[in-house]
Amino acid sequence: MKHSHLCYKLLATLALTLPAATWAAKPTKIEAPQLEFFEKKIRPVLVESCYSCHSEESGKNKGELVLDSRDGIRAGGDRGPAVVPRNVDDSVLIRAIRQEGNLRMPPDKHGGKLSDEVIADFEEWVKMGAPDPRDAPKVANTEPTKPEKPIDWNQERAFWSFQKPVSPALPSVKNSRWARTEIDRFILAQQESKGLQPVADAERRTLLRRVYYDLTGLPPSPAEVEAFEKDRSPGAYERVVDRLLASAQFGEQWGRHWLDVARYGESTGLDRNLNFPYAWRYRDYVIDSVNRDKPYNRFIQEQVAGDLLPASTQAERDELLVATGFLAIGPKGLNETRPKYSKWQVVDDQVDVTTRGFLGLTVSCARCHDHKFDPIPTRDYHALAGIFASTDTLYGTVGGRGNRRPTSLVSLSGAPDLPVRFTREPTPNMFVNTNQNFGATARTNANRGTNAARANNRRQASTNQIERIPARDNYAMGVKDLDEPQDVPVYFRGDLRKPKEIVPRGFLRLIEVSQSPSIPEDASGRQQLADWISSPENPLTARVAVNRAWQHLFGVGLVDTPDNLGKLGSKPSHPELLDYLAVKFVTQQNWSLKQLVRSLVLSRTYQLSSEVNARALEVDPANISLWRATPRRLSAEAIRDTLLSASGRLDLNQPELAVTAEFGDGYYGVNIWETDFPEDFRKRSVYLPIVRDMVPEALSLFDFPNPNLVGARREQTTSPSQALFLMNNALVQTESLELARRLLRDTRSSDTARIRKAYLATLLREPTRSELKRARQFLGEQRQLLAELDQDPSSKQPVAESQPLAQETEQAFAQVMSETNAPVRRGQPLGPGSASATMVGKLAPGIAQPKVYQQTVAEKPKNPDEAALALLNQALFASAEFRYLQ
Amino acid sequence: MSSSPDSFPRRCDGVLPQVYSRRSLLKTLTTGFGYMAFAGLSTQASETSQKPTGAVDKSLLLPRKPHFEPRAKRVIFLGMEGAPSHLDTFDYKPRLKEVDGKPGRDNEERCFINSPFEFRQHGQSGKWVSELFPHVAGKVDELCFLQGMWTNAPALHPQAWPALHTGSPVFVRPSMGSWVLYGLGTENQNLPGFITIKPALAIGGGQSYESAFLPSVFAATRIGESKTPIQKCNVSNIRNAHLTSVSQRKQIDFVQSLNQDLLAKGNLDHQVEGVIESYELAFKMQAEVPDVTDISQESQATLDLYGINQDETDDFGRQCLLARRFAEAGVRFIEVCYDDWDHHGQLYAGLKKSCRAVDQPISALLTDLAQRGLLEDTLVLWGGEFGRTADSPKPDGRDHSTKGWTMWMAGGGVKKGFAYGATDEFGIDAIEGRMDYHDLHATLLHILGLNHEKLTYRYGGRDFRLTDVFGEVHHQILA
Repeated sequence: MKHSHLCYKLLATLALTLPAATWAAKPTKIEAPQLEFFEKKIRPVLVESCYSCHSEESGKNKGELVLDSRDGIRAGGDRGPAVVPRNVDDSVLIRAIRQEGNLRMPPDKHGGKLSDEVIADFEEWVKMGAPDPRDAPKVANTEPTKPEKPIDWNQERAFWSFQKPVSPALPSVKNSRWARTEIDRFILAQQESKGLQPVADAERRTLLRRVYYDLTGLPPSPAEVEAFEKDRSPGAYERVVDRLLASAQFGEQWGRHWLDVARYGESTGLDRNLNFPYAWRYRDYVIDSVNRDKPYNRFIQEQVAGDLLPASTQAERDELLVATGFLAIGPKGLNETRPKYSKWQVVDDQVDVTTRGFLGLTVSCARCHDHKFDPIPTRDYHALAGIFASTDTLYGTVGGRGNRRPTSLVSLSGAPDLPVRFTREPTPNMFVNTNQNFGATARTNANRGTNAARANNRRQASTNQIERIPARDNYAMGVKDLDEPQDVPVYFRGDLRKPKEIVPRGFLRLIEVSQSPSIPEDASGRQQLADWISSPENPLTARVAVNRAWQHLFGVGLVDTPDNLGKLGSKPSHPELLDYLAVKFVTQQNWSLKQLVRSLVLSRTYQLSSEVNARALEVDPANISLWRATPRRLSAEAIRDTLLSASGRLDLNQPELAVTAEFGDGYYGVNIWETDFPEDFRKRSVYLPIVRDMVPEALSLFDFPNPNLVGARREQTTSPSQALFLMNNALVQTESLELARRLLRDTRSSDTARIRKAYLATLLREPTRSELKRARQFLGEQRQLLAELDQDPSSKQPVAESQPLAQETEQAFAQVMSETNAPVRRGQPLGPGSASATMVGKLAPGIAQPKVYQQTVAEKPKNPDEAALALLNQALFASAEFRYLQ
Repeated sequence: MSSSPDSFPRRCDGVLPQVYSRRSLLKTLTTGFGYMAFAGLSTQASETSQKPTGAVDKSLLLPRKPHFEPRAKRVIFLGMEGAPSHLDTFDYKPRLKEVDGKPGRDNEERCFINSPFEFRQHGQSGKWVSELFPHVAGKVDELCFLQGMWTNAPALHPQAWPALHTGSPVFVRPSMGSWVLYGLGTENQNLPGFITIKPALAIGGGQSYESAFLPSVFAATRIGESKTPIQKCNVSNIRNAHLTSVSQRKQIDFVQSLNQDLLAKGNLDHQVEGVIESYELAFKMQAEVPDVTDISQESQATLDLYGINQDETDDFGRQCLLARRFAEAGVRFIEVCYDDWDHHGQLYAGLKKSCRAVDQPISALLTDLAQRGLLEDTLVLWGGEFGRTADSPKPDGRDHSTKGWTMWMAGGGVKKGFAYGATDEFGIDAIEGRMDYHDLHATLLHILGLNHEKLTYRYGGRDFRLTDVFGEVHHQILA
């Protein structure tokens, strides 16, 4: 590769002022003749005819367009990219200077139409790929940063997590009969050193419930419980574990764990919340990868650099491309006017999710300054950032009002390349368009709720603004390398207006792996980054992975800050065990998540009872030494999925698409409403629409993580809103009623038999004698109360009617979303006193019933028998016993 | 295992949140279940446990002492999404009359626009207010105007509106209401501590009321959204469509009997206690929320004061009245939203309509709070995410301007009849008493007795603040 003279000159100049060791910037790969062409024929015209209205320097960015930087000209403005390399017709700049359409540039007062010769030069330039050396000289004009504080790397690397894990000797234990696996010896050794001993093993029923939820997120069926209780043959538990590991539900459960880390979301969130109709492909990729037990190192490589890996079939190629959705699905503020800021928001997100996600390091803290605690200089942040800055992130969306930064998508299976989509050529007076068309559409208050109005909104929106075409075609979110990878400067205090010295693309100096791959000049470096992360020598990667698996199975990680193994993270409770697991994961288990999980759940430690022991409680109340099983709350997904599975209505099939795919492109709160969510969605919760800032209530109330944030650990809160949900939400009521109906199908059955079945269906156990008695009494009382109410509806006020704010209608987005699962049986009569009945009565004839009002009320039970049994079921779902794994 | 700085919520002064032993609380509290909301119960509670039972409650919503003596106990934020024009309301610029129709100062292609509205002086303070706010004008001697607001956030609603709430136009950060709740807890455990009424959803999504990395108990309870009439809005799951309260109470009793059995087994001590109490509290909340939101208990005079049942003021009047009722009932942070201020065009008609909708209700809220003795310890904050331009490409409109605008405060120990800061002669740049979002947040927290530099939460390896690394308390506005 030839270097330009200009760059050589700059290098020479700068080399004098910089410490030699820090200077290794590469010039961009522009051939000299191309550079000359740009400097002679393009730049002068841009400066003369364009910059006065379109440059950062002039402070003017008409049409949101700046032309004085490479990023600016490529990103373009309101009408799309000003220049699309090698594509003359799609380059708005060319159209504008040809003055063929309604956009005529430069305007007369700035000299009017350019000469045909100049226009031909621009066309020629675009055809040659629009080589553009700008940005580099700007950087070179700046001062170098102050010299980095010297770091004693050897000393820094002495910190526990930065040292390569070495498999420790197995500790000796006194009670060697107790320890069933090597893991148990580590656990027991620590207990013995504290004078503790483990409690008894869990009852089989408890253990089965635990392992089912942990591995699949679903409970065993009562029949499976019974079979397991009876099967006392050796290997019975192992057989269950193996069956669960092989089930499709394992991938849904453990795939979701990864989606938490990957900050998976199906919309942009942030400023304008735009739909990501193709995000689900990444979700399904993750689930599928877990189910196929893709080695974790390979899983890393595919997500960071799948597009750069070889593929032998088209299907494999597609899979690898979809994997890179990991880098594209983050939150995005697409209303950002400045291309550079927009780009760096994406880059920063990618640095964060990659480092915190795989390495448990908070590298993005070093964006503005050297990391305050860990040895991560801001230079190293920018070395990594250069890799992502050399990457083109393709997340789609349609440009237009409120979305200045649409991109193309990744084409699968040879689908034609998708142009960057701007649905609307802005009219000369954007302003009129904005307020009177789009604005009116978005902000029509009065009619918003009605179907007619929404249909109208959509019509207007589609002509004006947004296509809403379901995303069934062969595209995906993902990344590819830019044609011209570039090193980036250190931005002083993260300020993009203050570039300092250029840093070569690279990795954290903190972590050295032998044969550390070097980044070729013409590649972004993602592939090398993936190799570096997934290297068996990387001290963090395997530790982070096994620690998270441990956390998901034991409640607390061996390091209880699973996304931070740096100096501000916690120290491991069992450092030798962590290293043992990490080494084994890499060397013996071949990075297999299933083998890792299997080894953990087969440990005797995992199978302990959660019973307390007074002495142990005294010595180790927090159960750090794991002398018992730590009780854990079910996840949000497990709660919802169990409600549906207990009633027999859970649909275990993976959906073909996603709810958000059906919406196509669009804006939440503008042309996609919560009311558009399906009413009777009975698939597993992992398939619910994960729209940023609009997470379904059934999930968010129970600590589903904020999909804007990277995080392996969920909170486990208990709140009155959760209680209200379990008391009053239509989903809970509906599934309780459906379960009641199922139990009532056997007409010969007695109360006692039904109560027993209800306990089995919800708590997976028989009621005690005392419970049976109370439950029978409960049913009797409730039946009587309900019968009285039926005879004389006015005798008792339903709770509902004492609520003035909500007398007639129930509302609220979150509610609707949570109740997308609750079917509304439109054909059926609404019961007296139900909110819907009142509402229907008051609506004028001919006005379409807004979905939102119908949806929030569960069907009323048909008779007191159903009703009372439904209340019993609901009570069981509401119990603490249901909510916790013991 | 050591403590977990990554998630364990605490204020960095080390005081908060108080960690109670459950048993000791049971002994000391006679009200029974007034001490709810537990965060991080299982994973984190265990490892910070001090008590032999392993039971620790973080009691995150319990009222907590501020860092120092507060001037106000609660906040009502009247959020005007869309950016009301300061030049046509509270920032009188007679110079605009002289330059009306002439090329703009910064852009020759635009023309200066004089305000089409009459300004008059009001009250003892002689504050100039336009004819658009006749009712609020009558209150100027109660108000503290912040006339030097500015921000370097983008002059775009979807970035600036979240930034006004969170401090950041780019990153997902907790809303100021969540920070306040985190810092102070709340006084009435039977009601949510942070309530947002009819927030604007399309602008910055849920960022104006979500808790981001703070535990979700600090997120706002949302009542409706901006496009739905208030009478159709409610708190989620606050009612049961089919059950009588007698039936439901029996059902809860049954649940509690199951929970008591489990508690007696002793394996899930604090978890079960948490669940038990959550039901008692929910049951109370279910009774109290409708009670607080039942404005039929108000006198006709009060309804009239707020303009309820008059077409133009009905909806916002109800919101303001609800805000007063929530404040009275001990809710810590209440936000009310009106989102029709983006007058690029039809400035005259649009502003008239919007101001009419909010003027009387706002004035009524101030009167009502004062009459009930609530104004002195309630901070009322009014304003939008930025201001509007002095020039425009159209004769009847104004565009966005982040360089200078006006907000105002009332109550809460701020100066009365006081105008702080100023814009230049054209109302373009804030030139005196310049306050950006961070300064506003720092000052707001200060009024509540919180040091913005000490109210921190560690997340992802770093201590975060509402004010990031910025923010200055403007003591000049404090009485």
